[in-house]
Amino acid sequence: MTKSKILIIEDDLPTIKLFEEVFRMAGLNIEILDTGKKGIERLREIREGKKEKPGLILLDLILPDMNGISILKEAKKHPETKDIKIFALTNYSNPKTNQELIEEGIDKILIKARYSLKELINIIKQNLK
Amino acid sequence: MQKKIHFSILSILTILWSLSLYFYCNPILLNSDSWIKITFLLTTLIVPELFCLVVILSGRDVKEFRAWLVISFLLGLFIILAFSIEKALLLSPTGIIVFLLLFLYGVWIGAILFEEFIKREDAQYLQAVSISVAFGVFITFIGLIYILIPLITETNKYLWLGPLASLFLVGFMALTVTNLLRTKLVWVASLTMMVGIGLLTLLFLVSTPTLKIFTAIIFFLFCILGYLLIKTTYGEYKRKGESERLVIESKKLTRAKDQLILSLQHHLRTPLVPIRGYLESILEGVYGREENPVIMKKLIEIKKMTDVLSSLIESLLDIYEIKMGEKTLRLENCQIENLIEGIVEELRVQAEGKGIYLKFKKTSLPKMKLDKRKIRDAIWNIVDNAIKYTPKGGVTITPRIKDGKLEIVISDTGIGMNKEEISHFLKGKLFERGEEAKKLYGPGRGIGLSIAVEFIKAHRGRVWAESQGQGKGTTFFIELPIVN
Repeated sequence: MTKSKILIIEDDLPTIKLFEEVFRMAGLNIEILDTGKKGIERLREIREGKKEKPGLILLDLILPDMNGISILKEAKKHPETKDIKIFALTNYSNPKTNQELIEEGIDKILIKARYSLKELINIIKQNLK
Repeated sequence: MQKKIHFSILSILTILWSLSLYFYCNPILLNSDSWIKITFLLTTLIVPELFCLVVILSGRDVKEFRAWLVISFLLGLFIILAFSIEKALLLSPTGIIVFLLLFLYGVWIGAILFEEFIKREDAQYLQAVSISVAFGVFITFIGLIYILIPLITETNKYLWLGPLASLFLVGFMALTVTNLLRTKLVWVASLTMMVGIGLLTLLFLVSTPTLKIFTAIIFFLFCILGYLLIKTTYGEYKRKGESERLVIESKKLTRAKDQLILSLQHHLRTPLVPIRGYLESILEGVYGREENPVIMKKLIEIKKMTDVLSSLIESLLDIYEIKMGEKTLRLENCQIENLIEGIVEELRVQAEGKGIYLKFKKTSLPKMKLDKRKIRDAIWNIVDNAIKYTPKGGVTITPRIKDGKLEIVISDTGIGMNKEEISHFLKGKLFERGEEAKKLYGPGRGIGLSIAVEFIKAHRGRVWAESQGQGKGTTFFIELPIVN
C-alpha cells in the first residue's frame, strides 16, 4: 500500500524546513505548498483528477495571500474534496476563529507551539490510518 | 458637526411646518388647501431629515441608507405631484400613503434605536433612551391629533395642536444633541433668568423709594450670584464631559493594548516552533549522537529555557484571553497531588542548584475537574517564585482539605514580603517585582505571580500570601473549590 500523502499549507520558511526534515525522517509522505493560492489551485487539480487526493491536509491559518479558512471552505464546498481530512495547524488561535473553523467542518485544531514534534507526528500518524 | 447641521435643518423645517399648519387652520395669503399642501411637502422632508439625525446620533453613516433615502424622496415627490392633481384631504388615498411612509420611517428609526439600546452604554445609551422616549411621545401625539381625533370628531379643527408635539420633539432633541448632561445647565440658567425677571418686575411694582432701593440691591446681588451659579454649573458640566471623555479614551486604549497582545501571539509563537523542534530532534539523536557531554548538558539547558519561554508566552496569552472574556477553561479530571509531584520533580534541580530544600508533603486528595495546564502553570509559578527568592533554608508544599475546599500551602524561608507588596499581589498587579527582590536579584519574573492569580481566579479560587516581614519568609495559599 502506498503511503497516503500529507499536504502541508504553510508559509513560514523555518517551519517548512523543520517539517520537511523531521516529518520525512519519521517516514511521512509530505508535500508543502507555501501560499494559499497554491492550495486553492491544488484543490482544483484534485477535483479535475489531475492530482492525487491527500490523506490529510495540515492548514496554516495566516498565509501571506489569504486566510486559511478560505481554503477550508473551498475544500468543503466541492463533493470531490469534501471528505479530505483537514487539520488547522497554526499559531493563531482565538475562540471566534475556532468557532468559525468548527462550523466550516475542520477536523482538528492544533496549536503548533503547544505540541512537541513527537506529539505532532503521533497525532498525524494516528489520523492517517 | 454633521449632527449640528442636521439638527438645524430639522429645527427650521419643523418651525416652517408648524407655521404652515397654523395657516391651514387660519388661512392668510393662500387658501387653506394650499397651506396643507405645503405642510405635506414639509412633512416629506422632515421625516427623512429626522431619520438622518437619528442615524448620525446612533454613530452610523447616513451613506449606508442612501438608497432608501432616495426612494423615499422620490415617493415624497410623487405624493406632492398627486396633491397638485387631487384635492388635499388627510384621509384620501394620498394622505394614507403619506402616513404609511411616516409609519415606515417610524418603525425604521425605532429599530435603529432598539439596536442601540442593546449594544451601547453610558452617554450613548442615555441618548438613545431619550430620543426613543421623545419619539414615542411624538408619534403617539401625532397619531392622536392627525388620525384618531379627525376620525372620531370628523373635523380638522384640532390640527393646530400638531406644532406643540413637534416643538416638544425639537426641544427634546436639542437637549440630547447638546448632550443630556447639559440639561442641568439649561435648567439652572432658565430658573435664574425667571427669578431675575420676577425681581426686575417687582422693582417696578413696589411703590415706596426705600423698597425700590432695597429691591434694586437684592436684584443686583442676585445678578452676581446668578452669574456665579451659572458659571460654576458650566464649569462642572465641562469637567464632567472631560472626565467622561477620558474614561472612554482609556477604555479604548486598554482594549487596543489587549488586542495588540493577542495579535502578537502568532509572531511570538512562530519562531519558537522550529527552535523547539530542532532542539528536540538534536536531543533525540535524529541527526546523530553528540559525544561531548558538556554540549549535551548545555543543549538540555537551552531546551528547558525554551520550554519555559514557550509556556510563559502561552500563559500570557491565556491571561489576556481570560481578561477579555474570550477564553474558557478546558476542564478535565485531575489528580492534583500527582500534578504537584511533577512540578516538584521539575523544579528540584533548581532548588538543589541553590543549595536549598524543596519538600512536598504528599497526601491523597480527591479527583478534581480542573484545567490541568493552567493549574500546573499557576502552582509552578508560585513555587518557582518561592525558590527564586529563598537564598537559604527551603520551600515546603503542603496540600490539605479545609472547609470542603482544597488548600495548597507553599511556604518558604526566603526574603519575605511587606504588606504593600502583598496587597499588590492580591490585586493581581504584581507585574513589578517586590522591593526587596529588586535589590537582591537581577533577573526575576514578577509576571509569574500574576499568571498564577489569574488562573486560580478563573477556577473560582483564591490566592493570598502571608509574611511576618522582611527576611522572615512568605507563605502563599492557593484555595480551590472541589469540583468533581
